[in-house]
Amino acid sequence: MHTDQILYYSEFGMLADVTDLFPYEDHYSEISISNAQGSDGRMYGVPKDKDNVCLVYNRNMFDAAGVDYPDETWTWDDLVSASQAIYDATGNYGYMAYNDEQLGYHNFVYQNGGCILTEDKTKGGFDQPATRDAVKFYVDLQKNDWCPNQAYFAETTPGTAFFSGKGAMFLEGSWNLLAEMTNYPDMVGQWDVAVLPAAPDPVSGDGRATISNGLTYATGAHGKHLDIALDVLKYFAGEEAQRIQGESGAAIPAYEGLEETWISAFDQFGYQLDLEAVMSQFDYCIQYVNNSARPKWKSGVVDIMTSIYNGSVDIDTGLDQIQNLINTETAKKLADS
Amino acid sequence: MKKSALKLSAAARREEHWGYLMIAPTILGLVILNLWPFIQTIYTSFCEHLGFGHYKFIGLGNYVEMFQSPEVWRATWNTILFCILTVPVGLFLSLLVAMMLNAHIRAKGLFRTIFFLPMVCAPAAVTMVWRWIFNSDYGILNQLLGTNINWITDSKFVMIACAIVAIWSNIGYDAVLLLAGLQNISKSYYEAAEIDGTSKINQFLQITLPMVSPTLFVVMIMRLMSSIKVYDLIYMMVEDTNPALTSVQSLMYLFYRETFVAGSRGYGAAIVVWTVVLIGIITVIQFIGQKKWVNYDV
Repeated sequence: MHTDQILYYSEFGMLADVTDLFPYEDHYSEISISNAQGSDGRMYGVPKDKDNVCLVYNRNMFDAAGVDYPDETWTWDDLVSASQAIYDATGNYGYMAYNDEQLGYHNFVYQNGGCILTEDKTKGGFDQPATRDAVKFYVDLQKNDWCPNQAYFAETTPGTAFFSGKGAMFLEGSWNLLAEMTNYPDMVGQWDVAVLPAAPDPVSGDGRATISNGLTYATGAHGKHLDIALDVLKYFAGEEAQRIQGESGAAIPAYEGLEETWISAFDQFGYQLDLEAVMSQFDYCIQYVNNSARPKWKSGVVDIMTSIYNGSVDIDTGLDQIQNLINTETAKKLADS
Repeated sequence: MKKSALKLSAAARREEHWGYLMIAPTILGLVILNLWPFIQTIYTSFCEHLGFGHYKFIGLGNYVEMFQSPEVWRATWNTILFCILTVPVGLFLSLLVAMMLNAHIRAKGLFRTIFFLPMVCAPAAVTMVWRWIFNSDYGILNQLLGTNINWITDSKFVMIACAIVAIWSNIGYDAVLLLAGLQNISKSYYEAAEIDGTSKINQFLQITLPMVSPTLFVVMIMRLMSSIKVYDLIYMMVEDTNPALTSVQSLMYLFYRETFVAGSRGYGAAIVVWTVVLIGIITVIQFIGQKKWVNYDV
């Protein structure tokens, strides 16, 4: 069950309550557990995996431009100056900032101390200066020569551009890394991963954040053989099953302490990615943005972001519209339930 | 008059029963798979979808919201524009292809197969290839033309790009239908025209066009209906972060996003009903207009 769907399914009583199936607190992080919870705080899925968003970069382009590889000391300023240097030296794009939420501006917003939804998830955070500044910074990145514009990204995804050697950096989800190592054998050794750059001047916090999502194992509430299904879920929650999943390389097990099993799936390649950097980000990751009204405002927000990008709406008006949309739809949903 | 003459004989009645029995599978299929869902869609359009089959009746609410939305009017215009761009050109080219495939050329079977091929390819796969052809930086089209046009992301060109793919995909199918129409035209008309010394152009205008017009009419109606319902092609060509989306979003694309992304099934159903009304209006106009140009005398 994906986090995009779990609230909708659980609200209508479609998912079996698995809260008492397993001592989750002992083996799962708070975020993994939150991603498996319904709006009522009960658990409707067994945490399956966890992920976060990291910075992928092309080593050759950094070498050619004589710029140090990104590391945990990097801030947004370094991201910008490295992009400029790489563009000047190689003619390739620097950081490819495209119109995306989880793999784009959501990370920047939380790094800057802002939020997409307030802590109680009842309101949007687009009226906060920290949020607005981060979105503006992110959108304006496309005004640089070293960043393609949204028209380019509509034809060529950042991943395609990156693995065709057209750009030096983009944000990628940890769940895609194994597939990219497998699918681009010629690129193995030429690229690596790093933690996300920090906000240089955050309104609050230390400037570090990355969005962390996770899928869950769930089963129907009205199944004929619910006891058997729950038994299987209980097994899936345990160490043995999570280890099998990790070693397959499918995704990072949600079970704490089994991260290394997933890393071992990368041993088959001639080059070892810096996956410890991905793991270190779990110390400051942010739960995937979600509330029960999200299906109602999600595509609306995308539409407004698109009009901000193509210039048909100015950014301040657009951000106000987003804030309004989230608040209206969320209030409507809360009034209904 | 004798009473028995009005009544069917026992044998005829039996035959009538058999007739019903024979068409029953098709009729049942139509009712279950087409008619019943259509009625449900109309009912849904008056409801708000709460989730998992729970609906709340809200009367005309969805329709009021729909006709106040600039997005819907824009999508309606986009859909009509798509028809204007694809149908006349598509029909003309299909007829041209059909006539060439009907002429005395070598490897006729091979050419007919080639022209029909786009029809058996999955639209999603076809569009993926076309996207690469249209790619402004690396695409073959800009390379050939020596231009730098953003085919898919410039609001001035995106509709044209979609229309080109639609025309390309449909020519083969329409041409095969028209070919069947052309083959029904008796050779004797042309022989008579030859003897009279009629030019080829006049033969086309005076014989071919009137004789194929019933087929052309049917093809036109079908093509218009499917053009109004265009969805998969645009969905594959233009993602929701494409800056030119509003210039090409069709009614069915909007319906998809409202129904399956936002989960507003009632509102989505209202868009469908509006589309059906649109198809109805256009089809009625065509049936009135056909009296002027379609020839049913053979």
